[in-house]
Amino acid sequence: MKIPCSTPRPIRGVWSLLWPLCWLAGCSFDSEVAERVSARIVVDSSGVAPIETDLGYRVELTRCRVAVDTLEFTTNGEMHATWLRSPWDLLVPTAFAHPGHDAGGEVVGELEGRHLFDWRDDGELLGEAILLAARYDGANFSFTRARVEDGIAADDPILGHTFEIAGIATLDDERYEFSILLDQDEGRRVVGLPVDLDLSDGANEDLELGLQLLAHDPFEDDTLLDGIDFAVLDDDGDHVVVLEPDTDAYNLLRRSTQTHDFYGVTIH
Amino acid sequence: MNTHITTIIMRRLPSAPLLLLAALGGACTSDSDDAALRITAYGEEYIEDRIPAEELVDGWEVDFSRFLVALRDVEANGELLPGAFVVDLAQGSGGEGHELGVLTLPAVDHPHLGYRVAPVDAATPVSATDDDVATLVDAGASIRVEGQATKDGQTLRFAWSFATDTHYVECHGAAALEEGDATSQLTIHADHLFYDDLDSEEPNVAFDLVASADADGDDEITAEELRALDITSQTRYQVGSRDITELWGFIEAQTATLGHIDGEGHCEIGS
Repeated sequence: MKIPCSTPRPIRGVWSLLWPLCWLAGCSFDSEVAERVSARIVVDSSGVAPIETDLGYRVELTRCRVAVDTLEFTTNGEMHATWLRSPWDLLVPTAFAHPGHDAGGEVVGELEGRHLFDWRDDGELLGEAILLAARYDGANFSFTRARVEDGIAADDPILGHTFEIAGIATLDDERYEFSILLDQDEGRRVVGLPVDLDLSDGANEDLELGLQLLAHDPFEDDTLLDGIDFAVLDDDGDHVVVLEPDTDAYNLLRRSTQTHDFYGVTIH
Repeated sequence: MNTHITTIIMRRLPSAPLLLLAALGGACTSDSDDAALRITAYGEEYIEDRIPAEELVDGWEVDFSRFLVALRDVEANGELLPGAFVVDLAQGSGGEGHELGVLTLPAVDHPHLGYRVAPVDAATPVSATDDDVATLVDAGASIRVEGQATKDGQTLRFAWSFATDTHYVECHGAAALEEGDATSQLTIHADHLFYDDLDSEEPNVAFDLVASADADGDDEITAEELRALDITSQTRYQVGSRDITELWGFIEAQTATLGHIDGEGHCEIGS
């Protein structure tokens, strides 16, 4: 098999090596280093509201857990602190032309680390993101698979999976309980969540950003569960539906959850 | 500290490069001699010979009889190679690639190249014919691939034209101009046409789904048949946030990822 063309990953150790060399060379970043903002990143549950799918099901999610990795914030414009752009670029290079990397934007802020949470847990703190002074236009994150070290029990159903979703789907007088353990490829990125945040002037001591799942996409007017016919999936008529891998319904939901349309970042 | 990182620092820290270079060991040079940079286009063995069955997860073998690419805005370090070119990458080059031209550049550093794969109004044929040029120009296409895929005695033909306009920029060439005349190769990766994911870092090369598009069973897979194949419930063929629901759109999107530099070197996408 030909070696796959993979995008070079950030060389995170480079700057620690460069910094003393640059200091010896007389570079000065002191005043510009201050141009960074800390932002609390929390779960915003406002998008996990009851929805009506294209097939007419009214769906309410009773569980919506997910495992994600590093949340990035991007700018398409010029940064206020131009000196800072260079070292950050060394840490997080601009995306190359390759599958999955065609969405523009320079990564100038991030919340590092793995995060396992339920999108219904409004206000749950995910961490403190570091944002450089800039005007922000977008955000990205990566999916991962839940691990024990994420703080879950060894028998937790989400272990080894990306999503654990459950809910109630109702059509006419029929009510279906559904659930799915959904997997995404490790590291699969969701790129281009819309963000409208101007931090060009730097300090903002009370900044809090909410990470949303939007069960209803307000732009396309579609929903996360469009195309899933729960009645058809209820083979045994017990009104309990489990969406299994390699089925059309599973694949439809997997595809929807990769789409940036179903995510948002709110400014609190 | 490698030269690539040094190059980035030079580009990104305009106020500090000399001091930084001194700190990095005096890599700075005052050499002002010129060197000739020969620029070629190459489709590798995958296009000149075939994509062998062992490279595809489902055992198909793909053989291109014609692989036309329209190239223009070819440049290195801002020096433009005038003209547009239509290259038939299926023609054998003995591993050397097909020469587009030569640029004279200062004999320092590794060149940064750029090129556009885009429709052209006119072009110079390179290892191609006037008919090849006319084929692309008349179709308003930038890429045309013709060939066949075989597996277990079955042969399926295809002949597809794409109008994709992709500007590859900041291609970090491997040529070492400080060592004298050198060659930079615009490399086209044909296997990307059959990748089964638009986002994965490790996609498969696969043909089964493409083969299944032959709805009328005439052993020719047409663009119309590919457009008719809905991929939204496929386990593979993920598209991220792109509004792509059928196989033609999926393959068309892959055509914007074919361009590389000097083999496996990557480029950024420009406007």
